[in-house]
Amino acid sequence: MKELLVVGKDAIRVDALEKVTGRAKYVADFNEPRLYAKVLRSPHAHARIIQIDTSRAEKLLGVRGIVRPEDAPSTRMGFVVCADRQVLPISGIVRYIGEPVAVVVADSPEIAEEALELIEVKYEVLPAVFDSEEAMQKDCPVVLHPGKNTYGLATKFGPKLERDIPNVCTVFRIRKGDIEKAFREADVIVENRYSFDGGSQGRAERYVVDGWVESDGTLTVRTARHRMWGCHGWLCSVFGLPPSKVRVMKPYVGGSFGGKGSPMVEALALLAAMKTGRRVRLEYTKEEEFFDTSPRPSIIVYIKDGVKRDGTLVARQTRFIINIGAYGSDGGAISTISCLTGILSCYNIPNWYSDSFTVYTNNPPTGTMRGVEAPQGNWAIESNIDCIAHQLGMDPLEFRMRNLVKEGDTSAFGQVLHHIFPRECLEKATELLEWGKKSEEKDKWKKGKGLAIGNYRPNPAWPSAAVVKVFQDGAIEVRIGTDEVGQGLLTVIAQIVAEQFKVPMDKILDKIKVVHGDTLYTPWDFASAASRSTWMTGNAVIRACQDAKQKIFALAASKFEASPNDLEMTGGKVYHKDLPERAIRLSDLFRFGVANEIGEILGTAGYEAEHTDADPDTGYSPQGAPSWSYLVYGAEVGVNTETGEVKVLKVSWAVDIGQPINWKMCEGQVEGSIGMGIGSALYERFEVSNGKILNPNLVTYRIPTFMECPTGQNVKGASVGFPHPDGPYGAKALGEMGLVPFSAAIGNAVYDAIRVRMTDAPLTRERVFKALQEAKKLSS
Amino acid sequence: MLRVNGEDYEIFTDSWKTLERVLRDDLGLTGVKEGCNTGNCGVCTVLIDGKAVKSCLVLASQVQGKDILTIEGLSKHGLHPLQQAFIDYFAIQCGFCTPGMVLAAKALLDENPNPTEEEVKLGLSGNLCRCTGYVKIVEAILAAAEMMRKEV
Repeated sequence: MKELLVVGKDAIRVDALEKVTGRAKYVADFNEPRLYAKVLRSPHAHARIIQIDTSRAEKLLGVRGIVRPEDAPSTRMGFVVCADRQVLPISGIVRYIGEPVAVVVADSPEIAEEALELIEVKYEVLPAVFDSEEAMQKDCPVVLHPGKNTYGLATKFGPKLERDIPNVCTVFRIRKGDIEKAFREADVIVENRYSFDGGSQGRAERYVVDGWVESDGTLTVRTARHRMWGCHGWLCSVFGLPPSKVRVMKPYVGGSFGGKGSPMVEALALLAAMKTGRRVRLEYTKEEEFFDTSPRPSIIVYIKDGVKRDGTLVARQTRFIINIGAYGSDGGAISTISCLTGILSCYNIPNWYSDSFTVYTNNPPTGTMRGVEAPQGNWAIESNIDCIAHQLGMDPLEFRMRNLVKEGDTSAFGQVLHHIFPRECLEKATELLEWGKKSEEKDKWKKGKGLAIGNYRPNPAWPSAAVVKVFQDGAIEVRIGTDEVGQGLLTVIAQIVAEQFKVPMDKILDKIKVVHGDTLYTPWDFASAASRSTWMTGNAVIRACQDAKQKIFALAASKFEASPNDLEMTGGKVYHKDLPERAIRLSDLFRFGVANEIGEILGTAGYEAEHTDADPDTGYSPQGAPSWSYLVYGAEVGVNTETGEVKVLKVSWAVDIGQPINWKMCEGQVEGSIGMGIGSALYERFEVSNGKILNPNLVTYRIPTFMECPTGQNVKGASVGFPHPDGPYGAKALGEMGLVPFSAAIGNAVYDAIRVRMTDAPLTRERVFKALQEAKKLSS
Repeated sequence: MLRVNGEDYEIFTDSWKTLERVLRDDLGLTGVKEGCNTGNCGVCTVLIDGKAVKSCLVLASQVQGKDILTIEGLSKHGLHPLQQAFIDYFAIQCGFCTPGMVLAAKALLDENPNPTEEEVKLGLSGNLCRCTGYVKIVEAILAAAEMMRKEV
């Protein structure tokens, strides 16, 4: 590959100055005159609304309007596969504690809050079901969505609607090989049940939306979310409007990590704005943020693995049961396939049968969190892989090496894998951790090391687009429709543009502007989701730059009396490839009148990756993803044998992500995942009782602080991949993969320390303590 | 009367309003972020007489006559070394915790100009970040401390 000028270098983040000075604007920082909305929520997990009396609330001074269910459209909205949710319960049924019933709009949040108390709702309480295995029984007496087979469904992307089991939303299966025969031929069978509790994305910023109606009738929201264009599409369909009549603005966002599935908050804010004719802000409290922004679902995984005595993995049977709560539309419905995503291209397994189910229960609806349930699937499978190794008396590293995919092997979905370097990841991560070297132990603290591998991919299911403008002074503006949510997309895009136009590092901030965050000014794109932005939007941006350059060269060709194909440009100058010293400035090109009537040069492009959707009955998808990335974690933990406390002492990691565009930002993604992963692996979980989340606040739902996270010399990482021929400058996907194999690495390290296999995540002190007690009982 | 970033402001507001709300709503200092409102996340951190305080837990009326510093005041005369280090060491991702984090770090370094890694972590443990895993924030603060020691 040619020497790169900017890509692969640690360019300073283009948004850093604004953010470090407090000038960066988030939704709540906009301060126009407005009204405030608050949501009245159901106190019951399953109930029929008999009557809503708002008369007392309406009389309260300062109340400007109340949105009732009949004010809302009846359209069912949904994310990707399952349209099962209405903005407000017009049908009269509420299905979870906290489901929005009405919205009060008032002069201040305090008045709105007071008015909520004055609304009287009569409910007929219905029986409810909370346990997913109970709910998925065919004869479960509680049925959440009796009409689900009649709901409109978008069936893209793999999973399909389950029509026969009343409370099952979607199913997805793998049918590879002959499982019965393979198990008969296996020497050792390792069978376990794993679980992973639900939890929160835990973003810093609360969900806040400003909604208003423009004078031409355009419904406009300014919202704190990722998936700006997805939100735009949903709002169009919910309100039955053409694309030009909805505008979504997304300024800086205080963290994403998934969630915020259906555009509920946006739709409610707009209903409030339509009711009052005013600009309305709907800001969630921290409590609402925890339970009603589509948090991570809880999952149960049954695994049966069959292996030969020499360590060859021959058969696997898995069953994933995902408790998505009351609605699948918030993202939960896709997790039947995505729970497999983080492991399906890691090992050679000739025979794999899998069935995954998303199950409706009367818990708050869940959605996606970093990796879209791939981390939980990976947790179960990579834990079981460790179990097998220990049962065979093999080193877990050696066992993984033996079964690892290599160039030309196929994934569990039948895709032939190319340009992959999982072996190098395993080698490097274990080298950095000094694998095999026993740690020193002191009194009650036992130490252990564990590792796990995961994979990820940029989701190719939706195309991307980009618009590039070149100005007379050589400045370049690029317009993209994906979302900066903190991950560094704007900087990645700026570096790609800089590389295309050979703008040096120290001129990026001055010469390149990335326009984003407003559907009025940006081309359609799917979203910053599924680790796709660098690959999909990045590739679109490259093509848009090339389009602009072609136009520039066509204009300049007459100046050089040469063919456009012989021209090149760098640092705002155009030159003949053979005569680089005879360059003309872009500004001259404009000044000479060749382009002065245009004033700017536009480049546009779309990008689509060839792909196949997975067959929901077999999992077969020969072109499931345009590339596969790998990540291996090695972890060293200390376990307090008296209290069950687990401390993460050291983490090593190695990634195969092709050519990193900006390595410091890549490190940031993995290090951030380690911080988030410590919470997921050790203590972040919703305490749920009869559909009520008991700890929806930062006091009782702890997220990791500085003190729990290893830093400095205790975190070591490396990149071991090589440029991928189809990636933007050879880059592959990274963002969500960081969380994928982390919990399993911790669980495996805990096993190494105390020789007790933990199967329920997170590994809370209580759970580890109990497991230690059990083990003691057994051994005595 | 509030003294914020070296300037005096006469403010008429409800007695129950927190310092965070007054700084944001009345003075437009939106670099002070609003997070959990329970004192757990630290995004609203400001300095009051040099000490890091979560402004969601303080009533504006309680801090009359005290010296209040927000992120806007810190960079009045160019970037503070901590701000420069946060940029250079990639200690910023979504940016929502950044203003509070920088101010909490300033309070720490003003008291202890030569902290160990552990002291930085302990000193900042009241400020949460969900994006970075804290690795680069610790790096940035240690680097800024070194730079500031050299400048003195």
